[in-house]
Amino acid sequence: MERDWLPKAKEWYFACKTQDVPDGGLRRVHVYDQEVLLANLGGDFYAMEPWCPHNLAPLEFGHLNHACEVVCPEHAMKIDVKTGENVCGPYGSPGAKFEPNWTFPAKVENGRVYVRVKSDEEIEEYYRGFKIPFKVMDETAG
Amino acid sequence: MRSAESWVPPVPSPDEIREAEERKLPYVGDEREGPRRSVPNTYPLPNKRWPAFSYVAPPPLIDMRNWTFETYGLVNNPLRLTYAEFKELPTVSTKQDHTCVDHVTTPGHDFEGVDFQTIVGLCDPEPDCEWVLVECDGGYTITHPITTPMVLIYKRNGQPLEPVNGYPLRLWALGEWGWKTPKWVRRIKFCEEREVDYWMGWYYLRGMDPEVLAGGYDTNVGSDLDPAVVADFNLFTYAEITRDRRRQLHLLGARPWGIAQHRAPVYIGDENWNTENYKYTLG
Repeated sequence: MERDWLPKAKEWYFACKTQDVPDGGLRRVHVYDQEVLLANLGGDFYAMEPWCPHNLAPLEFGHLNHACEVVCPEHAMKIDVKTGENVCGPYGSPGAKFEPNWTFPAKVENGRVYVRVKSDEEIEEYYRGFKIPFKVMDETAG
Repeated sequence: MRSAESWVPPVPSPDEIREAEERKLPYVGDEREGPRRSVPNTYPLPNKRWPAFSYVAPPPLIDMRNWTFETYGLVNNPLRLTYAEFKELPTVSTKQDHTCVDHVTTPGHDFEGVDFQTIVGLCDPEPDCEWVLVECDGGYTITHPITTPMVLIYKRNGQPLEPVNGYPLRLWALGEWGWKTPKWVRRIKFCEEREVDYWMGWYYLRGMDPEVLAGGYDTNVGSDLDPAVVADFNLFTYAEITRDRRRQLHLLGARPWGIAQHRAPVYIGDENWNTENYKYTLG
């Protein structure tokens, strides 16, 4: 059987068309093997992880403010679309420290949005950096 | 009136024969012997009730007030339909057997729904679109070629689908295993190539050899596969062990997954299943 889908053979993968994300809006799309949040800032597209690092709320139901920050729908935590940094914590609390969201490069070609998702090696390198080793849970592990 | 002597039986042209062959529904079995009544080595259940066989990533809650069926990706007309709008689309009816990979069959469900090619016609996909990725509430995903005969069902035996069986919308791929027919369908992405769906990502993340994964993943019901490839696939997925219930009971204990995981979603603002007429259903 011919196989061209695993492991990742390309860098850029098709996310959606530009018509799928309204101007100034957010949209969660499936890109190859993961879900990303796409933001349309006047024709410039930015891609980020779609869950809030505070409580894993879906950021697609939040909104973009004038400072290009995603405001989480649950507790109004603000995350910079371009860098993934947590600008302010839940309900404006300054002390919340979470890992910044991963951001992914995005480009537009012929009305189609492509996202450069992380390669297997980059993801593995990230998990190798943990002090407590990360183990994928199996169904037999309870 | 035409007499019996002058009437000649119509001879279909090769093109008509080919079109009729393409219109045929796929069925399990030898073409000369006719469709099989059930898949061999399965236990048929009566079709009056339809127990849910698997609860992979069930959504805890579905709000029907803002429920929409959406399509996006390589289409010129992305759809966004409410449930009432979706039910106004032209419907088709099929009689289908449900075959689980645990070798339990429930035969003869009368399904009613919208043919997937109707959706394709409405969306007007671009010519290089070859695959679709179906996204469900709860996170389950599945990929199919865009030419697969599929029906988006919302009724069974004249009644609305039950919550454990995927209400409000379930995709039925004709002649496929049960895990290829996802419940609680919400969005469909039209793609130019195959993407990584739920089980493919599951097995790849856990280190299955991609060759084995590719060889054993797309098995239709009753398809003829290389036994060595199937053996490799089953070895990784512990298929023999999980079907040996006595060994599973010894290793894991009874019902190790917990009762909460077997709970169907709770619906808000729905006319068929709401908290007044429907408590929780355990499969």
